[in-house]
Amino acid sequence: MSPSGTKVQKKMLLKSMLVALGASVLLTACGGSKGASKEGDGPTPIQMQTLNYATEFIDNTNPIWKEFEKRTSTKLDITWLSPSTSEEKINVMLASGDLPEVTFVESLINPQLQKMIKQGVFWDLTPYIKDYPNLSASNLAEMWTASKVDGKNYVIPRYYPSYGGGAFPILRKDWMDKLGLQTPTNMDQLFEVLKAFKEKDPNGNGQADEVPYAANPDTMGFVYGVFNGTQGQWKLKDDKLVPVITEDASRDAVLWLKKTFDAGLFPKDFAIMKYSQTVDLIRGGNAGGTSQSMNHAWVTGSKIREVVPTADYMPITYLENAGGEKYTPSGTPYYGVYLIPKKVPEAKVKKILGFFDYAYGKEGNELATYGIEGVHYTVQNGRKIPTPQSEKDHLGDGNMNNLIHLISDDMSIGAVGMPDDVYNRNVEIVNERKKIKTPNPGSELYSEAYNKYYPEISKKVSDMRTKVIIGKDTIENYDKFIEQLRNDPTLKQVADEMTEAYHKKMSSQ
Amino acid sequence: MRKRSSKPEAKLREPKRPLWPDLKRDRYLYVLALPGILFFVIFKYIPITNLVIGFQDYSPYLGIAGSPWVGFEHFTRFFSNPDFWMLLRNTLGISLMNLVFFFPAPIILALMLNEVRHQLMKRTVQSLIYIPHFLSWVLIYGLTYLMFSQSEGLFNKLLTALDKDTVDILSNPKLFWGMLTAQSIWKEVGWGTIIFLAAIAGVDPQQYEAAVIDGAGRFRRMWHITLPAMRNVIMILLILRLGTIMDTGFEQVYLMMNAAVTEVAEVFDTYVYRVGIRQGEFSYSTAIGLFKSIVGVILVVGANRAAKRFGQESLY
Repeated sequence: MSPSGTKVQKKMLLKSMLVALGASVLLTACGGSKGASKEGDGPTPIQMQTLNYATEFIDNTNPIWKEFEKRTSTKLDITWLSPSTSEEKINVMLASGDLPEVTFVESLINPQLQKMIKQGVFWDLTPYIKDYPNLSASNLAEMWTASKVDGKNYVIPRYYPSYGGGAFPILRKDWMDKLGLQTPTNMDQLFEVLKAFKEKDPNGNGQADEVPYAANPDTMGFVYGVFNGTQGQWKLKDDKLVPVITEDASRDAVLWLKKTFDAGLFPKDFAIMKYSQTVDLIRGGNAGGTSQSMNHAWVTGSKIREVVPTADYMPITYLENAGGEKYTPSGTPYYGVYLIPKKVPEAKVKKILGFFDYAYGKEGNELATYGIEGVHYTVQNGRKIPTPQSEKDHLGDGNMNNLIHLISDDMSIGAVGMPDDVYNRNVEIVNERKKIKTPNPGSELYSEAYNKYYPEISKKVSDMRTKVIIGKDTIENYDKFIEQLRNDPTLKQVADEMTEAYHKKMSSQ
Repeated sequence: MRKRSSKPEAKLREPKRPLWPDLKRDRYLYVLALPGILFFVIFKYIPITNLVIGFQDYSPYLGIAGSPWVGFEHFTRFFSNPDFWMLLRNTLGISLMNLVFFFPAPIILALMLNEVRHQLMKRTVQSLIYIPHFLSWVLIYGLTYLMFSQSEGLFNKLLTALDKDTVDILSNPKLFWGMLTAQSIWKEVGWGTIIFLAAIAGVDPQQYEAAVIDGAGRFRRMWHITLPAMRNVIMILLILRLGTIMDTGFEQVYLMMNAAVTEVAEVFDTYVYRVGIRQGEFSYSTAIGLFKSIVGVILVVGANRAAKRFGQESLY
């Protein structure tokens, strides 16, 4: 081999080594830590992560983001999670142990989270909260009580109004008016209304092409709630929690759904439709209603009006069962929780709480949702009218407003551009709903056995229900199956643990 | 690396040679391969060590080092689960349907394409049948829904137009496996022909000419020349396919599943997703994944041995 040949070879070697080295550097860079943040006199850097429903995520060049940093003297590093992947991402993040300084978890009873709280991964915030006037304000007291774990506040709950949310019927008021029907208040009346939608041609085109209720199995959960007169998966009986799935009232609910399906009041593809498909159906203008939260009176209602200009999409207030128990959806006054891992020093914990204190106060709260007065909105007759700049800076549902929800019922019953008549009616409905207290004894209770076994059991039950409803299985088989479940030792263990958790919670409050 | 010997010589067993001179001589090739090797080591081999969490009650906070060991608890829970047999039956059922109906489809299609003499026609058909490969399963689910759903489906609308009753296809347990196989064939059959067409392209045209002179017809030529030329590729693909028999393609099954068909639709992959990711039971789902992998390895090794015994081309 000639000397020049060796040289060329050496060069080649060097180059290929560089490529390999470069590749390995790239690989390690991905796994690098991002937790290093310097403390100083300047603005405090805070890492956070949260759910974001916006279609376009903002970054630190956004004026609202900057305004928050200026007013709270912080430097925000926010990672947005898209709702479609948030569940997996949060679980993987918890599993990796690489937690941001403000960690968002969608559900307090996430099993990973529960274990980690017990292992002492997060700060107990109980002693600090009272020092922050906005956080400890009386209108938020219920939220702090409901989110306690073993009597302590490990989490900063993300406020969400108790009433107005949840999947509950919203019906085409214009169709009811046309056919001279009253708003239904019990299941029989609801059936009759839907039946009339089917038979009396409310869209007036001479064909029976209406779909009375855009339903799939998931949207009909409220039916079990109405028949049982309770919310959630558990019912309180003789001071014990019993699973709703094995109750006789649930059997009646299945039969009601079956009757409705057989009468052709649900789409034929009931069993296979995804939630988005039921929404498409109602938006198409040919369906009489579906189950949604109250803000959809406009979020979805406005879309129906694009097809049918006279459409009026109205949430119903409550439904009553045969025993006279009224049901309306309600929940804990928060959705999602923020936690601060112990690796964050105490001084910074106080800074972070300071940030939330500002955001939960009137000024910060309105900044997150409406932006800056004069720039993003103007006040007319006491209502904030958005300017074109508002949309440009991505205000409204999402982004900073998802980091901190608006502390007002408007969060669940209002929507951008909602006309006054729809809004005022929603206010009336939600005020009526607030008078109804449907019990939810299983709310925010955690048990090991529940997490391990209940999802499987619950899935089997809901599959069985669906099969009976669409006629793929018989009610006799359903009865046999439920009878088996009643004697199932695992379900009994789950129920016992839930009862225990319930009593523990009651005594700690 | 370079191919060191052809087959008959290999059987003679070369005397053992020290490794180092070889490594030194081919060093540039090895350096060239280094990024690829690193990729496999970092992303395939190092993660294997994490399988130990299948024998632990893994908690992220305590880490692998601190989590308590539970031995075979997760395996016991899995095998004693009454759903285990259902999961196994569905997984194997769907895989076997694929093996029997989907696997031969591209071979047949490649043979047919090979017989097309009009070049423009052949290329057009080839390009068209590649397209579905690039569609995501979500889109294919959407298309299936638009074709076969009861209220909006084209198929059922046709039936209604002909005054017949609509047919329930998507929530019918009897049709579910067939539906999955049909979807797989529709999506991947064209793409699958590529490798077989490549094998066919390697056939010496003189063989065909000689066969024609000997009076062999089209099917004779196909049977005696084209198919044997493809045999090695077919064997290798078949062995590899056996290794993935426990995988059923999560996305497709998950999207097509609904309450009415769960009994025939729930497979290992969807179960792991529900229990492992959604419920955060990482150790349990790792144990299931490990079980799947072991079955896969056994099948590949077994099939490879069998192929060798019958004197066919094998993987290694």
